[in-house]
Amino acid sequence: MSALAIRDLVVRFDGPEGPTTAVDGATLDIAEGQTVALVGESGAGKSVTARAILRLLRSPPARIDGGEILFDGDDIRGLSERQMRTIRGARIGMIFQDPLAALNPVYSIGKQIMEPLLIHRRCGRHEAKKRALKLLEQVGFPDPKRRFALFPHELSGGMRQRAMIAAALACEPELLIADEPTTALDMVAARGIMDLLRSIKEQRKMAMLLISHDLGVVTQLADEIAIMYAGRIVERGPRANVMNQPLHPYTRGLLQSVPPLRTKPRRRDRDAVRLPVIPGSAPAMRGATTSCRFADRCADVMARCHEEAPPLFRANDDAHGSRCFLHAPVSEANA
Amino acid sequence: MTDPITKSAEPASLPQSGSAQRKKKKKKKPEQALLYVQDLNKAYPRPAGLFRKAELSHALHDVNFYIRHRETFGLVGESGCGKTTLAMCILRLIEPTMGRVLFDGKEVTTLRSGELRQLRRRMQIVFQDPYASLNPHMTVRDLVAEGIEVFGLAASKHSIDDMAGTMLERVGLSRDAMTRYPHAFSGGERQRIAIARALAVSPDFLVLDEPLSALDLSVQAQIINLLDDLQQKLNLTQLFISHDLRAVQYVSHRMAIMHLGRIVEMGPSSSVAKDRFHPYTRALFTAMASAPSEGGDENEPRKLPIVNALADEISRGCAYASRCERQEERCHRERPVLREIEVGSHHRVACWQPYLES
Repeated sequence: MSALAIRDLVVRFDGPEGPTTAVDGATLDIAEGQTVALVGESGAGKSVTARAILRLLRSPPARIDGGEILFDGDDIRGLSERQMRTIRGARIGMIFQDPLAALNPVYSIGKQIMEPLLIHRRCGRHEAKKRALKLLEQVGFPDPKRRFALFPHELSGGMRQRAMIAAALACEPELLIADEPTTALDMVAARGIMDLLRSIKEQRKMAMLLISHDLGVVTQLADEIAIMYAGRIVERGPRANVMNQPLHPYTRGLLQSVPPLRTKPRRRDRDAVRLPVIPGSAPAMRGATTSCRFADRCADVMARCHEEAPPLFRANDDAHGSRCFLHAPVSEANA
Repeated sequence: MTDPITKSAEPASLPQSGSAQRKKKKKKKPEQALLYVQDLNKAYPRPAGLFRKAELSHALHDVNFYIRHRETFGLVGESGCGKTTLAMCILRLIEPTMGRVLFDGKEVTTLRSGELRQLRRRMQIVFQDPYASLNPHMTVRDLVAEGIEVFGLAASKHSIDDMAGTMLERVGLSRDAMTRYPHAFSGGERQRIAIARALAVSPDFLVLDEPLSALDLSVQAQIINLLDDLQQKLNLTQLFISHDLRAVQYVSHRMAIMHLGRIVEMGPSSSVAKDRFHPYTRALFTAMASAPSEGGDENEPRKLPIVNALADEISRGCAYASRCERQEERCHRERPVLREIEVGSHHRVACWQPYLES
């Protein structure tokens, strides 16, 4: 049973120059208690996917043009706004990249953590405060009673992010969506947030959709990895498979462009720096495409890649798959 | 004893006053570094509060380092540690409170405006955010040509255009880009424009202040390669400032780790990455998640303490002591100075309890 299933999701944005396809047939499953990382570069459609799940996309210009988003068996697209409100912040929690923008500057963090409890759990103020204090403690606030009345501007970036996590967890959601939770933070603070998310995930057995462009964060937290490129999920599979035996040429290129640790001194005028790179940049996403979106940058491109979009080909006991004709079954490749 | 930089424990000798220098002359001239930063301090006044006297907030404390010709020197630290302040003091975009900056033998800190202007041509900077650093109302041609015009490096409009076009090609863009505006370009292309703009006046020294952080991973690799390529072709000396430890240790020849305005560790990048003498350096490398190829032990919990930066800043001893897992009484009492662990290694650390076992 999966906590969340996305099937062939298509999201388009209308604009003066015609619609832009931000998500182009994304399919994703998150099993209960599992963390799935959605990895991709900016503009790949990661955040749009996350916002589509919570129906947070402003429409117009955004429209969901196809596919379904199944949460606990129901298609989120068919729910009324009233029903949606019982899900948002209660059964699905979300944390954002920039806590300073996401938290309300005129309320204390304690109040903001109490808010979802008062709305969704309909508990009294006293009870809500008690729970909020406990949450603050859980996310690593020393002396939560004193910190309760602090305002977001009085906290460091890492502590703000912790406060936002506490608010997102207040109603014990079944699914937590974390959109770039460490990007705005310093490295040491980011490490603290990753440790916190890992311990939460272990304690609560909650499903998590982790959105990140940072392969380091993903290696630390994810059970499954989905690589997104130009609106499509081009590869998905268990973390170790994707990281150690990447299939799709894009994934391989991405992993190779991480600078390695130096073991030998770099000599002046002698040792040049040459990281393997993916040439070019991501394509504009206007209109429909009937080809592989990565074809123009791919070193292994074939004639076929320009003619049709590859479906997901399974490898390694079906758990790991890639949308690349390189991994088409032999019988089909010959056809 | 031919090359004082690689052989002696001291950094390359500082320029002496006239006669002393002449006497010292040997068969092979000792290498002078391009840039020396000596005891550099920057303090900002913090006005008095309700229960507080006015005091100074120190952004930089006694910073000392040098950068050799055609070398990339990396500077790593968390936000607010003084990395950018240091770059600004070197370029004299802000005035340091104390200390000296010597660029090619000239003291930058006391230059008058006319001379400073000439020096500015030789020292250029590329900023973090190419969305903010390029004027959206200027065409790419005007952006790149601005410096050439200001310093009068080309006579005719035609030759200015030609220089700007050559520069754009150098950074991997086409000449057609000249007539367009920055908004027509992606982040990576904009950063290339910013680099072309900085290099158009043929500087010797380039400060790169977080040049990668606004870019995607695959684009970062492209820019890393480009910067190195340009260094080789144009004989550039670079100061590479970033919080991205992984990128810095990869691109730089030598690097320094900065913590609350002080350099706590400095040395050849590979030694710093390998030895990690200072506990803070260790914490940073630990926080840097391991890459898949390094087979990281991702399940090992690594708790890092929560920080009280202000308390650290006013501490009399080591500013990192209260967060440090190796703290002892002395660390709170006495401030450690940068010293070489192994003489001649040029790997220095400011710590009373460095990690000496690997």
